[in-house]
Amino acid sequence: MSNKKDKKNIFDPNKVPFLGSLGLLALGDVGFTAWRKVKSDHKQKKSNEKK
Amino acid sequence: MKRNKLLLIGWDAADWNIIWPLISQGKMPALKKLIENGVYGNMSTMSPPYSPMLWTTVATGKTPDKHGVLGFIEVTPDAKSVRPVTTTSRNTRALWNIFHNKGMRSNLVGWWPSFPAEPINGTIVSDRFQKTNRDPNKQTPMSEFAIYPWDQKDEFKDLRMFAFEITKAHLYPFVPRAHDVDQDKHKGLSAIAKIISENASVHNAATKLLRTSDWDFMAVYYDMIDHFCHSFMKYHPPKLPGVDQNNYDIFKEAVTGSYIYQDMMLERKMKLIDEDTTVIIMSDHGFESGNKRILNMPKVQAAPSLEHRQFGIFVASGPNIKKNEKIFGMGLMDVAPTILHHFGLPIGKDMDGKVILDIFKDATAPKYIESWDKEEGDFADLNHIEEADALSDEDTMQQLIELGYVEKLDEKFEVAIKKTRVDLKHNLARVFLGKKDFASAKNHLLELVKERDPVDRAPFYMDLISIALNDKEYELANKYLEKVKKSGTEINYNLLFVESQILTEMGKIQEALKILETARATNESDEILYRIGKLKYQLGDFKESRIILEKAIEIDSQKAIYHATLAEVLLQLNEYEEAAEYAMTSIELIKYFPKAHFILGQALEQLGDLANAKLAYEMASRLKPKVFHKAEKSLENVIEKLEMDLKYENKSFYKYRKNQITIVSGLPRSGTSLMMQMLDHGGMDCLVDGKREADNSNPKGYYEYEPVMSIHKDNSWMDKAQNKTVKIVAPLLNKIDEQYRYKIIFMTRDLNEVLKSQQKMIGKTEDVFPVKLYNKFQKLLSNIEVWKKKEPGVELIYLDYKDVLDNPELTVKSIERFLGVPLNHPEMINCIDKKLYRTKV
Repeated sequence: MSNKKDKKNIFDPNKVPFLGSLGLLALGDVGFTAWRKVKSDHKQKKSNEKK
Repeated sequence: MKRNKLLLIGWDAADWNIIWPLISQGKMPALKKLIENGVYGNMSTMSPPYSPMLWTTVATGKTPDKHGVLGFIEVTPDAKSVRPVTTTSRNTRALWNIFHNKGMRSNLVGWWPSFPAEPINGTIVSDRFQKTNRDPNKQTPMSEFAIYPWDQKDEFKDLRMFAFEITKAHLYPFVPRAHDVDQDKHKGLSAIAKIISENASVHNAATKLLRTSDWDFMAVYYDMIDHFCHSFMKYHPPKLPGVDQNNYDIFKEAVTGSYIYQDMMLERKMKLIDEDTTVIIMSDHGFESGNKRILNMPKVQAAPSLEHRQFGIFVASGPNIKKNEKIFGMGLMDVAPTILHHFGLPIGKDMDGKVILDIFKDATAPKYIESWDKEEGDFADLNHIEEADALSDEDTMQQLIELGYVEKLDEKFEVAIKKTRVDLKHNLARVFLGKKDFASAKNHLLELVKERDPVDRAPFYMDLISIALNDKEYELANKYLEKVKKSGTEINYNLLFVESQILTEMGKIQEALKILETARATNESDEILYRIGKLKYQLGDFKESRIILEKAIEIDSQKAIYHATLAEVLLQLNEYEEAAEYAMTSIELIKYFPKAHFILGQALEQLGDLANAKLAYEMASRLKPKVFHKAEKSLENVIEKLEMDLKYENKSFYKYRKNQITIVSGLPRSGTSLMMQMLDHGGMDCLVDGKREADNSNPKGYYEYEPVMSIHKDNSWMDKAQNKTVKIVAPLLNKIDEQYRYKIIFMTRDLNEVLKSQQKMIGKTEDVFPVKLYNKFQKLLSNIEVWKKKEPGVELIYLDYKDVLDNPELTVKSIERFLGVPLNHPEMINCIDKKLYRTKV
């Protein structure tokens, strides 16, 4: 069951820093998952650039 | 529909001493909001303060001897190895088992111990979920028993954070100068990385469940504050002498950083719950942050727990919780009963805790059942897991070793197993000690002292000393002390304290004081000052005692016993208002402190506030597990005063009290035998055995009872003295059993005459005046007044020997009035033979 309050925008996914932050970690699974995605995208981008 | 949900959040080692300054600086806004909308107070820990034991007590409402979790590690079922403690050690049902039976849904995250996860209605993300390999090249797979239901593993596996993922952005809030750390020399940063990543994993699982699952009860446990404190409290301001300046400068914000981050995580959780959810935040113990911080940890089992402080925190907020109110007297055992009560469920009578009714706006009477363990039905009890290997976890074990909770395992496993068994047995003995079940503790300790090397037996002897002192076996206590001295233990015990304590119990107070004063010269700690203050009180030096106890409180104001003892001293100095204040402070620190309530009652009674004195005595009487005779007697006295409206009269009206014991007392040769004789002839039944025959000094007999001579060892015969009269000389008066009511006729006589008569009786020359003895007797007589003030069951009148001889009629009348029983006046008066008044000054 999803919580109503979860529907609020708690952060801007476009502004997630590559190095992460304590604030993101404090947001729990949502912040952590978003940060990992940014890291993964960044890694992919770097890899593509190398290629 | 309103669900009555409850979220329990565990912050291991959280302490108000760190929290309050952060709240006042606006750095813990989420906790502040909860406090403002709820209740808060101290959470009293238990002995020994080892977290797995304590958090299991929180979840079961039972002491460790009942729930079975006795330490950080356990021996595997095949008895071939040891491993971090698991759910299999718990032998009683926890809250989530009970809720499962009642069809409620529970979520549990990170609880210690919760691995292997039990098959409950809901989700368990156990305490092994967040434990990952320290090697960045190895990503530890999740154990099958780490999560229940296991089919949710894919939802959680990517929520585990690894230490190697920590970046400088995560570290800087804790260590702003992280770049200055020489990581070859100081492992602080890698420790922080591990702590943050593991707690982030727990938080990720918790927020996921909060967002996506339906639940009635949810519990989340974080070890972050505890681990930060163990690693970095030594660098927390103010800087202690001996702490490296550079490390201090680098790590001084680490501890507060952990609290601030914990609050940030709390804020997120608060945003994910409904407004009608009740929230409890608590810690299992506090953490020393002042002068008592330990810089060099001794090499003993679970040594880091020495840094734990007696009081943790408790905060609760919710629809049926009072607002912005301080609550007193909570203990870890009370949490489970209180949560059961919140859900309208009965409390097991076999639980050791009680419902904290004070937190509720509408407090209904708790319901009880015999035991949840005896209830039939599905409680999601864990099936026996055969594969011991599945539960072994080298990384967790390694972490416990690195934190110092567990000694590095011996290469020989049989030695490690033996040490674990011994440690667990000792922990159990300490639990019994904490419960004052000395007999059970002693049984275990006497078995433990039979262990041979490499087991250090000194800790067992130390515990046996406290039991021997409780049993008044002083020679045995000294024998055990010698064993400790000769044991060659690496533990640095303060044996001076032990020695002084034994001497005190033996009545050798001056000798005990001398030892403590020596110790004070090198280290004026609050504990030494407290002990000295207490001894000064026992010696009747109240002014000095007051000054010393005030100093002890200046050093540590959080010790309830210091405040209570100072209140006792102030009572003797007739400073009743101050006494009441100190007693109140003591109660604020520990509400369930019967003695403090009793002292408060005494102060209020003296101040004429009989109604509140009555309440204080009632509380004292109610709180003491066994009968608190002094409180009960005081209560009777106050009720009498209230009924008679004799507000300012203190024991000045007399009546016969059921089963009262009449005592004739005084210094030897002050007319006690004469008074016994008079009472005997007056019709009183006298407890005498006639073993001491009449002689020239007492031609009409001594009227004595032999067991009185050893009353300091055994006063159990006093039941025979009820409704009778017995002679007890003044120095032994304070050994009487406080469960009875006493009428004491205290004979006084010119001290010079007393001494002369005594000297004559023992054949010493009358010409040499014993000055020392004279002073001692004078002190003894003034102590009688002090003692009387402390004994609510005692009514006492002084009769002067010469007055008895000169005014027999008046004397007999006053005795009759005092005792409240009719006496034969002529017979009593006939006993007086003035010719026997032979030694006059």
